[in-house]
Amino acid sequence: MNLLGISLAYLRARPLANALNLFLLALGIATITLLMLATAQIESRMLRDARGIDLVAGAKGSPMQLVLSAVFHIDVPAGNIPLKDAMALARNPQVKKAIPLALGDSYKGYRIVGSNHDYVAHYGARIGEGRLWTAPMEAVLGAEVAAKTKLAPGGKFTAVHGVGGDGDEHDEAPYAVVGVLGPSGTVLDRLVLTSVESVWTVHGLEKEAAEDKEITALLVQYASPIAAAMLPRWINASLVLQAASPAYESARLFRMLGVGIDVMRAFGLVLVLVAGLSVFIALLNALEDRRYDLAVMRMLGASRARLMGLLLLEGATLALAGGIAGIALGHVLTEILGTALQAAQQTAVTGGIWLVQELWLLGLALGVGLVAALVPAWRAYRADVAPVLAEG
Amino acid sequence: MLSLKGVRRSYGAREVLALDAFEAAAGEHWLVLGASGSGKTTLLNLLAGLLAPSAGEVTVGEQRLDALRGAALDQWRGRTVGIVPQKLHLVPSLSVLENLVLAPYLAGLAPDRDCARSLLSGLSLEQKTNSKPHELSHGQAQRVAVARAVMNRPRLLLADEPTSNLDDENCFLVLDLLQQQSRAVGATLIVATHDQRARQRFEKRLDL
Repeated sequence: MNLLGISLAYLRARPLANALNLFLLALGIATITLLMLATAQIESRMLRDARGIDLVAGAKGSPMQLVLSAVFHIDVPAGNIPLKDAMALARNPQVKKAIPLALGDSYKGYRIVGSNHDYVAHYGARIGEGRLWTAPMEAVLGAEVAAKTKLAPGGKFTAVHGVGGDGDEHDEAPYAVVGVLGPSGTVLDRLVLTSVESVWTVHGLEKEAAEDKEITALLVQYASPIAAAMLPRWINASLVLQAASPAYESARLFRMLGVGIDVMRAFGLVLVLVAGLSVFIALLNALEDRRYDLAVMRMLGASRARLMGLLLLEGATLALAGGIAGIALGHVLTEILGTALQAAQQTAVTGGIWLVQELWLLGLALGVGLVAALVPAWRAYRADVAPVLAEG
Repeated sequence: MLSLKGVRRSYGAREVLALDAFEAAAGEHWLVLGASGSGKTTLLNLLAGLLAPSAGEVTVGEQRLDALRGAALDQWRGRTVGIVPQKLHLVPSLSVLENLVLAPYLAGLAPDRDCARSLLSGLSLEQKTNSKPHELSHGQAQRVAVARAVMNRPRLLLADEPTSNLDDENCFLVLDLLQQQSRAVGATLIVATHDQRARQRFEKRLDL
């Protein structure tokens, strides 16, 4: 027998009201947990995917679309750019690294990217099985693509025009799988990689003269900080190219999403506060029924402080249980959301990771529970015993 | 063992108890007889340290109660005084056994479950060990309340109107039980009642 055991006995004595309070609190905490997990993972994922890419050059249009399509591969490209303009940019002395990308096709919803081996090296990805492509129409699969499509080196597939998966099939030019990348935790996991020439071949452009050839975008790394000031202006002055900064555009995207995230977070907080209010009302109501019990405990030798502790402990126990249930629920919901997103081949989100900030959520729940119990506890502290024992 | 000297207790302007002197020796069984409103409950509350007198001094054992405050007074009461309140007031969310163990726990003593079990079997309540108070008859609940009061082997056992609403047979059963239990732990017993039937069982009597 201890104070916690007595608290639990009291919580069990009112199962419906306390289960409802627990559920309310858990729902609020789960909402906040879900947001924390999802934003943290998407942010770190975007940060990783954009690392080392200072600038994207592509067709004129929306700079955000350019970044979303060429860096994160979650949007369609606005158009192509002439190869000779891209080559001119790549030769600029302020460019340290330039990686060409040729987009347009997909396989089972996974985008086929024509590039060179620098693209693989840029993300530090390693070949897991087989080898990298060396000739046109050879393809290397990202880890997730290989796992989902069950393709392996030696297999063949035909590309589909567009990303949707129901475009025209390029069945006259099948790809041969020669390798599978190991998982890198980057966008490469969800891509099918091949050479730029393959993409040209599929679209019947391999015979075109060099000046008529096109690619979709060029990922650029600056040679020096000065380039940040000069290169975008130089690119944007051209008639066909535009420059977009992945850092700036993803920050802009998060600012736009941020409003929605803030609203959801506020909603979660409101749920937590309502739960706190509900715990407060429940404890205060229960106190009316428990005046005699509390008086008897004083009669049996419990001090005022102990009774106060008992009520605070009840609030804290309920809140902590709600907090833990909420965090668990948040992880489950995140995992469900992640599975749904994965089915749509979007950025992967999992409920399987834990953040240090979740401890703050437990603290928040605990604080709400203690504050809710404070007034009932104080009343228990102040109550006079003798008159209560005499009535009944 | 206990003494009251010049004790007055009033609520506002109304004096509910005036007792110039009262003494009881260790192990004595006293009946405090008086009509309702005569201050019986107030006297018990003063002896338990649940109320402080407006004037005068209360001594139980060697302890002057006005020397104790707050948590020290609560702990002294828990260890020294066993109380059977009129309405029994068992804790409804705890089992019978837990209700008994609550007494030593709250008094800061080692919670002795074996002692609680043997008390219950001595009162033919072993079948009810894990029952909740609402599952007990009034007589059973009363025996549990007495058992709870003697759990800590108090030096003073107080009972407030233990025989109200009982027929003759049960009235004497309860009084016998209180006397037998206080003898078992060596406690001074004070029973406050308006029930004239109780006169037959007590030699020492204080009329209020």
